[in-house]
Amino acid sequence: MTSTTTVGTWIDLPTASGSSSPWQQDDPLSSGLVMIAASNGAHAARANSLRTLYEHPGSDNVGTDLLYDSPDAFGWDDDPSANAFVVCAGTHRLRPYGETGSMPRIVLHARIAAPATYTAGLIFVARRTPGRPSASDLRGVATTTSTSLADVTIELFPSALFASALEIAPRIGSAIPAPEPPEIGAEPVVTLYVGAYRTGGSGAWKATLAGLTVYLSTP
Amino acid sequence: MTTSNRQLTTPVVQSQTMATRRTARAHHAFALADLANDAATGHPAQRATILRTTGGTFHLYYDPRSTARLLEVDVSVSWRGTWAPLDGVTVDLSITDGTSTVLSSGTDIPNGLKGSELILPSLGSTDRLGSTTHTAFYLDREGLITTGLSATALWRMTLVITCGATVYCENVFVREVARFTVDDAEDFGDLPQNYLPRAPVDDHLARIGKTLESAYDANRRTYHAFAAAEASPLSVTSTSYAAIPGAQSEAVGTAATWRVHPRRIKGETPVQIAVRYRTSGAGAGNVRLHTSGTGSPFVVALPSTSGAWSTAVATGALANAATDDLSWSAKVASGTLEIATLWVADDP
Repeated sequence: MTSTTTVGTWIDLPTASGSSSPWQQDDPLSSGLVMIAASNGAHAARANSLRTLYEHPGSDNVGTDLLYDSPDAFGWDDDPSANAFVVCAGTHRLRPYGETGSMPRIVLHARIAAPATYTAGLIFVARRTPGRPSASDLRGVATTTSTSLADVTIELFPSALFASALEIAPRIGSAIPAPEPPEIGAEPVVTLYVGAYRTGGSGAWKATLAGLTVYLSTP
Repeated sequence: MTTSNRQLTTPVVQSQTMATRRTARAHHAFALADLANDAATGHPAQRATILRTTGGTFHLYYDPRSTARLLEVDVSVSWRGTWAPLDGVTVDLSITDGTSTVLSSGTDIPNGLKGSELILPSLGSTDRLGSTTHTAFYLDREGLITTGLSATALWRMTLVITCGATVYCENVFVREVARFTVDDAEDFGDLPQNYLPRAPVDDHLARIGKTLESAYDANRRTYHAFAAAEASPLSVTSTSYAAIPGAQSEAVGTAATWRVHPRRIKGETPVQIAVRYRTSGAGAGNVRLHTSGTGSPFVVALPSTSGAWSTAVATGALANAATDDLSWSAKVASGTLEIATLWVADDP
């Protein structure tokens, strides 16, 4: 039997602090009210677990040379001054899509163009912790031979246990003695990396990357 | 004040258990309170980014109408060419709401963001990626409000980043941290343990409703957070609307598009827009945000500032769709319009 947790839309209730609040002491707690509240809660938890994580304007000077079928050879150590596009797109909280237990898709969208007769590509990597991307990480590759900017999308599908726990117990501010942490806990997080390249060619033949965004979408 | 720790989990609350003729039981309200807490405080999503830089003054926006308590400021530092030992990065953070300002010298700002402590790349590394360090600092939103910042007016964070010649500040990420505590002294959050078996139902229930309202009202996603150094802003001289040259153009005359995921709770997503800008003279400017929301493009009026930096705000909407593409255009009546920050976030 399937069970319903949310109808997938927000049903407005009277303001909880208003004179017509349905949550008053001594009032009967109707099943309808509780069902609507539960549906709203599940709907909000789902919607709130998705968000936009990162944006980057890209580069019109992507010169890292790479065979597109060998992303392991990507030069993650390349210095940006050497026409390389290598970025850490941040460490982000990653929680399941509401009560479903399924992790959101991590989506990279960008526009890229290749030099004439060559290929341009993007590598998108999700790691449990910051560090060097490797073949064992969650990753995707997109390529194009279009010489005008073309949309590319890479989707990563993390498993429910993919994220690592980031322990957070900060002592706030700079007062001495330092105050106790206001909150202590652990967030499930992932760290993202993006690299861009072109195949073959040299010198002036550069790929172009624009409008790079990363966001979480429904599983 | 009663507080209780909570884990970051979303309970499964099945509607059938609440059906008519079923006996109302304590666990119904218990689970509902836990679900409301998670929806309201488990997914705060404001954030801002400063991309790789060799230094400068940057401005980020933050709306304090949030359920988050902790803001993480993560600073990454790595080599730039051949690293000279002890080359590092300093970051000076101050925050203003337009009326009150918390300076980096204040005790609310942690050591490391006071402009004097050096953040170094990894000392033992032999490669550039391995040289990258990630150092996290935390701010207390409630503490900053207690100190004097507004609880409702937009905050502007100013970060002055100074880099040694052989290091980059790879990124600065500012993001909200999920709540690990339920505190009944706040306007939201309900303690599940209020609902014990065979205990009377009391007015705690109203907090479930309030917490659910916060899940919508005080959970804001940042959809776009572009920040250029004040010394190298985007520059507009066109007297008619055109793509903003530089990082907001994918080619000359063609605006960059940014794909985002709108929060779809009540249909079309209302957003607020903020722009950090200045005009060179008496000519006013305008920025437009283009989306697929009703009423697009949304105009942000930029009164002339004669060389002084200022903030302008407006409202708009994103499409009620799985994704929406944002883009910007701008014009100035005369002279030059310079833009340091473009920001779009939820405005429920």
